Amino acid sequence: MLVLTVYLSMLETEEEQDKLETVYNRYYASMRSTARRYVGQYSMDEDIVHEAILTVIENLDMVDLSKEWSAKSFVCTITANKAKDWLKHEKKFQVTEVENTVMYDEDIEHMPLEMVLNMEGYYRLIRCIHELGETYHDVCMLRYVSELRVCDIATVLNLHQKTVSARLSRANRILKEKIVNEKIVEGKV
Amino acid sequence: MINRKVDDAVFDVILTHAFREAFAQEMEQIEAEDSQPAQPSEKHRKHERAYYKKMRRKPIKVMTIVRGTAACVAAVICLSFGAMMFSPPVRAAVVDTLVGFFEKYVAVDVDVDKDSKAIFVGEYTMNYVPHGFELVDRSESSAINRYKFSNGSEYFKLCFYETKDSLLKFDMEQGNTTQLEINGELAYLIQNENGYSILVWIYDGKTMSVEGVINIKTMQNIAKNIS
Repeated sequence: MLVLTVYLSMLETEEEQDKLETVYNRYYASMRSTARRYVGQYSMDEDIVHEAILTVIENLDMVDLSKEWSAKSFVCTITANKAKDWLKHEKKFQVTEVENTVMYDEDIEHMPLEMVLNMEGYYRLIRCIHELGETYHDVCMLRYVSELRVCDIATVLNLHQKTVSARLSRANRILKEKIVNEKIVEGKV
Repeated sequence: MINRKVDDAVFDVILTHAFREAFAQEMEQIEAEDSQPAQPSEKHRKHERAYYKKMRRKPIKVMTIVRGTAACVAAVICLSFGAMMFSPPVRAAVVDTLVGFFEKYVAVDVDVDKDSKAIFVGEYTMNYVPHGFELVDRSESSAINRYKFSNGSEYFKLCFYETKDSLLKFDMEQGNTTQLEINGELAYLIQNENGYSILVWIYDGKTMSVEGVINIKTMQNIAKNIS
């Protein structure tokens, strides 16, 4: 609990301290697991979680504890982002930008909605989300799961607002593209 | 398809749910794969403690230096002032400064030799009395003996002080102090704009004074001729 005490002493109001304590107690294990997934082999998970908690402290007002998934996704996405930043810094990680090269066909603009309206399509969409590149993963998680605004996402991930908007837009288009392509492939099979 | 806007809104809702589901699955997988303890290690606790101290030290450091310096300066000033106040001339100068500010009285340090055992009241002789002046009044006490001389229109007072305090205070507004020498001893002449003068000197280990509206030379002669 010493570590938590150290973090709590960085906050001024009792309300903020209670909030951080809840976040810490609820999500520390998840943050640690997330960090291990990326940097566990380098034994950097504790440092990454520490960095992530400091970022959470800086943006504590964005944590909505009333929405379980929102808060969890917020802290875990920050952790993942910190881990990826470290890996990038250490040149141990290459961001795959393959999705960016996918050309978008305007003719299939409205097809994806029809394709995800049934359960099969919905699970296909989830599969596509899992396959979504690292570039878009964090931005989308913060937008759709944590329900943050674009400006807040930009603050948390230390990006420009336009970059965040562009990534969200591209992710949306990539997902639509993937759904259509998968459907076509499945149809052919 | 209903229309573009509605389609996008519906797709966004589905996308939101799908992302939540994907996140839940992802976390489930991550937590299932991770079997290591989630508590921070002792090494990490140390690291965080060091980080915290470093973070806390920055704002405190400047304030500590400022406070420490201010306290040291204040302590040095107080000690120096206290030490200087042991020195009678400094003490007199301080009082004079205050007097100059408040224009109430003038202070001189007469530096009486406290080891002297001599008793002077009534035993001293005035060898010089200005022409026409006579003793018209006397007042003797354990602290001060006063002898008033007058020639009818002018007067002067001769005082012998029995005081253990080397700091004597004279009620004199706008007084200027001059240092003189009487029989080889330091003396002070205090004068104001109205011509009223006080001559203070030490004789035989005692403090004496002559005051009144009389000539300075006459006052010095009186002082020099007391035995």
